[in-house]
Amino acid sequence: MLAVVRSATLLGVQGSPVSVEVHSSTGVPGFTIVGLPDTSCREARDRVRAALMSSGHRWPDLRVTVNLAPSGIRKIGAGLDLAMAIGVLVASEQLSPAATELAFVGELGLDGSVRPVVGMVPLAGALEAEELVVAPANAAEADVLGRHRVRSARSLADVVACINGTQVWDTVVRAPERAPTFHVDMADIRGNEVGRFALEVAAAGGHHMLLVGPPGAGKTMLAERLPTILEPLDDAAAVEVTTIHSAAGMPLPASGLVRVVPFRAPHHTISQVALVGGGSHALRPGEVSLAHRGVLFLDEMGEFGAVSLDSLRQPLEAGSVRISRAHASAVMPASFQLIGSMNPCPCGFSGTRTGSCRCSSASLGRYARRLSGPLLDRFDLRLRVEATPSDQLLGKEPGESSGAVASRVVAARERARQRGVPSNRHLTSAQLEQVTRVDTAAERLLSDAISNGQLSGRGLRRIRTVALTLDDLRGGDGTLDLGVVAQAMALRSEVGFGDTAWSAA
Amino acid sequence: MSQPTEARGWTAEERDALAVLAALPSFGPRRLWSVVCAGEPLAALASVVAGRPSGDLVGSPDQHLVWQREAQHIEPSELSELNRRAGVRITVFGDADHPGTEPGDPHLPALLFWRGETVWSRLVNRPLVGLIGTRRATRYGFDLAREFAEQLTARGCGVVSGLASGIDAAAHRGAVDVCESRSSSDCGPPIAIVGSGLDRPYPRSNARLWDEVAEHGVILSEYPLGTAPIAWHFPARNRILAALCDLVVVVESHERGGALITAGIAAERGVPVMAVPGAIHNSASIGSNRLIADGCAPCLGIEDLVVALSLHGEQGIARLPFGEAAPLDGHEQSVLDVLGYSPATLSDLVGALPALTLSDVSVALATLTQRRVVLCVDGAYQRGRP
Repeated sequence: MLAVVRSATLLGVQGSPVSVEVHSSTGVPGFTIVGLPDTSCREARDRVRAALMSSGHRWPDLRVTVNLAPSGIRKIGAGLDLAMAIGVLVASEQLSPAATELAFVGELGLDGSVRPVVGMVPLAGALEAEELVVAPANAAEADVLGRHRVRSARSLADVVACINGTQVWDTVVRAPERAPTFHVDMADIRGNEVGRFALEVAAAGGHHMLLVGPPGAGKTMLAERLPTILEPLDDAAAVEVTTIHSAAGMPLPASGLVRVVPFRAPHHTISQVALVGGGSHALRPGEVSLAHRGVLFLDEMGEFGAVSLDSLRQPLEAGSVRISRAHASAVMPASFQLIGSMNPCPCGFSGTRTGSCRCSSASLGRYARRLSGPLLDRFDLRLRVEATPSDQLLGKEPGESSGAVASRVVAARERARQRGVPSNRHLTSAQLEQVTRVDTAAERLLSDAISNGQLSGRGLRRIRTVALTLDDLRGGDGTLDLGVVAQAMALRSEVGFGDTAWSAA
Repeated sequence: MSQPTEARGWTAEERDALAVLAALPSFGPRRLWSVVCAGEPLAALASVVAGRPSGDLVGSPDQHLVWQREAQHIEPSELSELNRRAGVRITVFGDADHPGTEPGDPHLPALLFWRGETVWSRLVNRPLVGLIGTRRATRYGFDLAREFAEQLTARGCGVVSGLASGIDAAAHRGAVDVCESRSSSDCGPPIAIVGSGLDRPYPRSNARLWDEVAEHGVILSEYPLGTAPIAWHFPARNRILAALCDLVVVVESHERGGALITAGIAAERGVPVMAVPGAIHNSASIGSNRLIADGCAPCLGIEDLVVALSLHGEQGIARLPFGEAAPLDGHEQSVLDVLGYSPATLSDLVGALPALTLSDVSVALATLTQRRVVLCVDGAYQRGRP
């Protein structure tokens, strides 16, 4: 007899539906799984058999073949266990064929318990069924998209009992959403008015920002406060982010959807694969995808591998990253705001007021080569920061709080949305041309800068975008005057590194 | 070492033969001098090719074998064609184009490779000033090296340096810029002495500067084409620099460094050495300050150089102005007033000028940097040259 049960498998951040076809017939008793299962999936053979028998069922004395269709895609992980067990029960006539109306995702223990799997949100998104049966720990996650009636049960025996109507399914409880809270606040930053303002501009326009300065200048402190002034994710963005985080196996909030803007700060020893995604087994999303719709903060950027840093260039331009391996390829969303911080040189003190750099010219050269020109060029804001003088650290009033800054940021973002983009960073050249007008004085400043070689074509576009954000923050009409253009240029200063610096003179 | 028979012109074949000898591994400047002094380069080459180097050329038997094998493979006319195509001339002691006056001078090789149109006769009546210093210079050193180079070049002095990064590059940059902007023949040509073959710019970041120096002046090397920039070549080329100059100025030097070696050789040869004082905390000034402490004349500005070279004729000893200073508006003046010679960030400036907004300061900075009154280096601002 044949039974077809619906389930799903994960590739990258996307689920794809899998039909688990179970066929039982007379012949030499045995259990085979075909249809491109990977190792963990092939091991289902023993798990399903043991779970079935410890749940009080009989293993059929038949030849059982499981086919995972479509057989072209690789099936990864143990999420198909439950579907296989149900298929075997139906095919051996121990369970009513009505069970195949439901979809099943879950791993089985040898004792018949149903266990959660990674990537429940994209898996649920791939399934076309009215009811979806999952492990209790997966129930809230499966319910995030709201596409199914989510059923959960602790064990295979419970699943069978609920299908037979002798027991009722557990109910799914989702905690109510709460406004995000942060442990840090912009008010913690004393002095450093320009740094605070640059952060506000970065938040308002979604601009990539590079902070350069000696140790103790407050670069990390600034960057860590960026999420506190960004507006929470809207529904569409929240679903995208939740899907990615679920696929990566990250814990989701009790309320289901991720509403807090992602802020990812990987350590500089990160491998290229961990940064952009991949892996030979399953294609896992990397940090760039986990930072989708949020912030990727690379602290001590000069310490990252040059290869890792340059692999950021394509996702920075495209907003997504395609990972290709011999067995599969996947496109993963990766539209993130890049915030970098680094020292001006390996010792950290080049060009500072104290002027006590002790780096050799060779190490300066190595350091300078770490950040390629094209990558430096992609930063909209490049700011040199110095340690705040002690009198300001001790004496001054606390700065403006995150709440006050966030309200201006939200207003600026709203103007960007009216232009049809999430933030000014996403404006195309044509759109930029359409919504901005450069006045005569600013035009002259820009053309002088271009003829001096201070500004490239890409640089010009970046300056215009930042100037537009500055205009948005003051509530202007898109006319870029000398003030905003000069500010945009001052906030995007040349940060050459090491011994090449003198040639700027 | 035997005296040359007489100062005489060299035939093309003799030059080619000398170039072949100079290209032999470990042949060395001393043997080259002995060949030149003996005056029979063709015979010397023939003896090397035969495997029985004559007279002063004797080395170890292994070396003779290596020379023989190398020399047999080099066709003198092909070598000269290669040099010609690379724009490299060869001057030999005795040529009008060779700076040497004393045969066997250990600091001035008998044979020099030249790149650039400038000939020695254009340099011989000019004071040649070596501006030398560390590769790891500070802003202070960069600016001074550049300014001294500009002022000296405009006064017709030849600025001599080593085309390394740091002070050397700043000095050449200043000299080249003046040559370019003035385009008159009164400017002193820049002179570089390098430690690699003339087709091997090192460091690579200076490749453009090499071309510019060659265009307005000359690059000298004792090494044949294709010679790699090996570490010990650099202190070796410093001796040539010391031998060529009429005055050597150490702009910035760490506690140890090539500049101090050059200064030592210059002092040995009786060439006056001056050093620029710097802050005692600054690691890049320790060497130059030490020189002053040891009795070397301090250089407190271009005026001191002008006096030392006795250049104060009709131009006086004041700075030569470059370009016209455009008047500054109110905001620009206030920004410039708070800006010192040590780097200040945008944040520092805004903090120091409570009366101005970020926008005002930005506009002022944009204008000032475009006029080069203010420099932006590594994202920090400071005054340009005074």
